[in-house]
Amino acid sequence: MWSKLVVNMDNLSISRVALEEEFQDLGGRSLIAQYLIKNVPPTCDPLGEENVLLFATGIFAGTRFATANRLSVGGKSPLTGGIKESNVGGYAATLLAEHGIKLITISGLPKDDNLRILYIDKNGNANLLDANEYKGINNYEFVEKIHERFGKDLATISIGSAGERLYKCSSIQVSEYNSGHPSRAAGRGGLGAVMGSKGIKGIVIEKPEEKYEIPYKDKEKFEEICLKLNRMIAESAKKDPFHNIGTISTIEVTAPNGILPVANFSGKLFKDYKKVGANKFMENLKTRGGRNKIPCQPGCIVQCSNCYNDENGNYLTSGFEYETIAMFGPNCLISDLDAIAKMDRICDDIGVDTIETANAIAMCMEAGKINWSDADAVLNLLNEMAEGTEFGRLLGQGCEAVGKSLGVERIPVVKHQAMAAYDPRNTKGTGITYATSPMGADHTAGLTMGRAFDDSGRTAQAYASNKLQVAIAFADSMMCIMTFANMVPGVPLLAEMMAALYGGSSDFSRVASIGVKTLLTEREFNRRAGMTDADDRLPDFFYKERSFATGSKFDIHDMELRTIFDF
Amino acid sequence: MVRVNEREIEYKKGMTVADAIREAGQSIDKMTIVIVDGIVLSLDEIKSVIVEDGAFIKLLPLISGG
Ligand code: SF4
Repeated sequence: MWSKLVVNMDNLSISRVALEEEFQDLGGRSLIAQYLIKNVPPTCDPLGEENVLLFATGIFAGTRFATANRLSVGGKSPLTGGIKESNVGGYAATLLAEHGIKLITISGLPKDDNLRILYIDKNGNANLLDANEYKGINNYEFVEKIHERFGKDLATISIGSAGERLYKCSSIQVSEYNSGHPSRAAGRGGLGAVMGSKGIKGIVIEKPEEKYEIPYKDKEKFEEICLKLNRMIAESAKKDPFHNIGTISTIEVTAPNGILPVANFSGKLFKDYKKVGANKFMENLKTRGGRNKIPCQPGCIVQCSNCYNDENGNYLTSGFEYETIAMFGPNCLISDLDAIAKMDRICDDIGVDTIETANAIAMCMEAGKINWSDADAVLNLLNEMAEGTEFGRLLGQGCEAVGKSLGVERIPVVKHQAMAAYDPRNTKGTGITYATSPMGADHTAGLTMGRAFDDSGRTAQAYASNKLQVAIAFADSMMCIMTFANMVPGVPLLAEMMAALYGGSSDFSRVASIGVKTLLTEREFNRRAGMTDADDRLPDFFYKERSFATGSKFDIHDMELRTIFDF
Repeated sequence: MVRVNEREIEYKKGMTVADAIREAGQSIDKMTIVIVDGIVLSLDEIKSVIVEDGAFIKLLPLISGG
């Protein structure tokens, strides 16, 4: 049976128990939703003792299914005030699954100011170790010190100084497979602050001496379907731009179509986008010894990750993604890819969400605190966040807090969370997802770009958003969504694989209902936390200002937004 | 000879990337990333860029968001 590691920070106790029967065949986002609604009061203080920080492996964790070992981090979000699941790659979930751990729950608050590490050794024993020597250090140094102390045959989950300072935009960083760099971020929603509030600097997971034996109902059948799906993914990945180039390739589609945000979602086009586009990226990789096609976790076939070196050929950052490049780049009118890579590195190091942080910085530009295009000024502000100056701490509270404090009117947030790199006027289904997702403005919750009848038209946008939000809710429970995109024709086989693994029905409705139930549970959590229909709306300026590229406004009626989850 | 994904077509002097794609019977839309000998071209550029003999044109449909 899968087990659960229960960590109580009130009395610093740890116990390993069997995961409840009702949760055994859940995983990832679906497990987070069901656990939170049953165990966390939705009105609790996200940084208080009633909130529980969760780490969940996926439904197919520990199997050979491609990207089965994603990690879902969950809890009540200090940024949105609602439920949050943040999905991340890296090596940690693989090792947790090899230990037979499907869920870690961290509850309560410590009675002292000490920092601790949750250490899971090679025999599966878990202990809380003193971590005061790591106080105030950032993720890269933390991982280096952990490697010096315990060796490299392990995975880390950690927070930087931002999480310790309880910044609402703080991330939880997970070490990448092979390199060990803490460059994979559970970025959205400020869960790093929840980890900081519990006094946990990091979780260190040693590779187990003995692997947990997965209790398949029908292993042969499972392997047969799994092989079929993996082959389908591998075949499709050959033509996937994320595999061939990386997620940066998205800019080649968003920029000419007015979907790329420019100058704080001004609706303008960015003629210099090629300076931060795929060709520049590939050229820099080639001439400086960087690499793409890197799997952030074992067994990933899509391999969208990368390692980006500076002009001297030294490692600068990895997992350098479209969202970061778009939001620190065109949305701040910056066209210097190396400067953006430095920003990415600082964000990963101090542990902050690049999307939230870059939007907060765009607020500073909109308010005239710093100039548009001024990359040095951005780097200075990031250093202020690292140092914890008064303004740096304000930046750490996210885009909305900064915008309001500086008197900005055009603040691109939904449920207090900043928008990702898709302008909702020109991908209206994505705008509907931003508005209605229980996660707040989040591109990974159901990006409809290219899937709706006409991205800047109104037809069938709610339909596309609904279908994708359901699909992503179950995909986030079992795999990386970039892999999911490569196996859409094989989706019905997921139910057959569940039946071969856990028993029970092999009907696709089993998988679809995981998606629907997860979404409805998350919405119910948010409702009990005090959210209303008014929270399911985009900021006013998207309804009033036209996109220069297409002339389109966000004209989806509130009624459509209100009824999107009437299944 | 010009290769467009898996298909090979005859090279014709002066043909543009768009011509070659059409000739190969491939369709593209705004979600397609066109790569010619390792260089990404915009959908505007493919109408004017001339293909060289032996060129390899890759058409990669963007299927998810980063
Ligand atoms: S597709 Fe990319 S993000 Fe997803 S698991 Fe693979 S390398 Fe990681």
